[in-house]
Amino acid sequence: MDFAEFVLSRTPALLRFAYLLTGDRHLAEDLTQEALVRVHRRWTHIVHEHGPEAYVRKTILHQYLSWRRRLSSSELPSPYLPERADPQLFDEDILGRDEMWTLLATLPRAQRAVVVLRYYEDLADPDIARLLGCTAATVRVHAFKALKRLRAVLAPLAATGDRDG
Amino acid sequence: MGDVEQRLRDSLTRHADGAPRGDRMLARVRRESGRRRRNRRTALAVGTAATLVLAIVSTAAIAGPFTASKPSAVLGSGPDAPGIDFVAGVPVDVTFPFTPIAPDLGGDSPPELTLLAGRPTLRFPAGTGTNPVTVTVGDAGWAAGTVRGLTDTQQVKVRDRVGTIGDRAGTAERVLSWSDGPDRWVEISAPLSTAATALTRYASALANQPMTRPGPLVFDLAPSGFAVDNIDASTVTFCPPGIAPNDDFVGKLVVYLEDGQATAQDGLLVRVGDRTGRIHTSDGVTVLQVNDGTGHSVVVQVPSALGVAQPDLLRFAAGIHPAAGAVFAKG
Repeated sequence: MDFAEFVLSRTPALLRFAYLLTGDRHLAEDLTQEALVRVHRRWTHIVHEHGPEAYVRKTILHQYLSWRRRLSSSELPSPYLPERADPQLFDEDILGRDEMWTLLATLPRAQRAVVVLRYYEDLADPDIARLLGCTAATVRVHAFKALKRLRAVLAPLAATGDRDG
Repeated sequence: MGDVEQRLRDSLTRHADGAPRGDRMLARVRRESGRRRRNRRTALAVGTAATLVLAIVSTAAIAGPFTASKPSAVLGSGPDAPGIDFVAGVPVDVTFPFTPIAPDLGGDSPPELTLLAGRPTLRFPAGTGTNPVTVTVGDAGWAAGTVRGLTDTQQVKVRDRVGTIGDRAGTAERVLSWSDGPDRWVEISAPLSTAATALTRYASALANQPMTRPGPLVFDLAPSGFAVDNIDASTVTFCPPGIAPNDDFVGKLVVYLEDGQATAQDGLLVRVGDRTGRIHTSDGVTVLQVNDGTGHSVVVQVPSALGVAQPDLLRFAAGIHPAAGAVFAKG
């Protein structure tokens, strides 16, 4: 597979991963683009030795964990017009009622990363640990703290009826 | 699996559909790759030339590429950024040429004044999921980019001039853009729900009274020939000559305040003035994190391509001090 084929076929999945990590469409695009630029430089080596998908996901993940926040959400002039948002995918009324999504934004980055890798990517803790460069025990601690925090907020809401969209 | 875990799984699955499609990702990646290849060749040439110059400069108390004199405020090949006041030994300030006296667009939160890609920018925070209201002042060279990509445009009268209101394609932003004098261009962006009349009213209520906020850091030393192109409550970026100001960190010397300290995982232990820090290099970037002894730290990121020797980096970092009111960002 050449680089163009990889990008065309895997970008949607990579963007979903980055978007769930960051909660921000623009940042997801930036992190994914940066990871792909880095892969592009070393494509021949990566495709033969590591497999590009895992490498790119790991790069996105580490950028997310160490990224210093951008200084604005405004777009800069670009030769390319921004993509038009798909109205069906961008129903803010429905998404706005999802307290779980709002709560995810309050988690520290490492906890959010573990949550995404466990409950969306369905990775086992040892695999998550390898991606994060930590121990499986640390992964479990992050997951425990994240779930504890989520339960603490959602439990009172559940007592008055589930309003999760 | 518990109820919360199932809800978590359901929420993530549902929101994954909200991700961007990335239709132009390949073109963007190729363009950025090409740009970095050109920058690497330029930086290599600059680094080589700088090395030759340093070899014949006498070694004073402060040597290397950092000087204690007032650094150049030239932004790459363009004019000085409006409002920059950068003098060694004092905080880096940001000056905005207006004072807003009609804050109803921005809600109750006080605005944040930053320097963004060399342009003073006033940002009023908004609620979760809502775009903030931002007011950005640039030069005439920036003007074309603000109007490009606007849809459903209309001409309006604003501050006795003609402005353009439109929706920025692919975003949830409504934009008012106009020329406010020779070589001054202003843009206000707000959520799509903002009425055009509200935008023009807000623009008309910008008083011609500059407002200034101090930056987050005090620098005893500054990289000669570099220009500061981004300042916010915790971060300052120095843009090397030859690179146009922009809002990212690629290729730049970046300094920021961190809520946390460097640990053994962050690299080799080094002495930085009267403090200690940790240093490591990965992916072509050297990161030096200096603990301040109160649970916070100053982080300096410098690309290897800039050719900064470690002794110079340590001297530079030793002369960085948080300013009063600085914010330590959480990692």
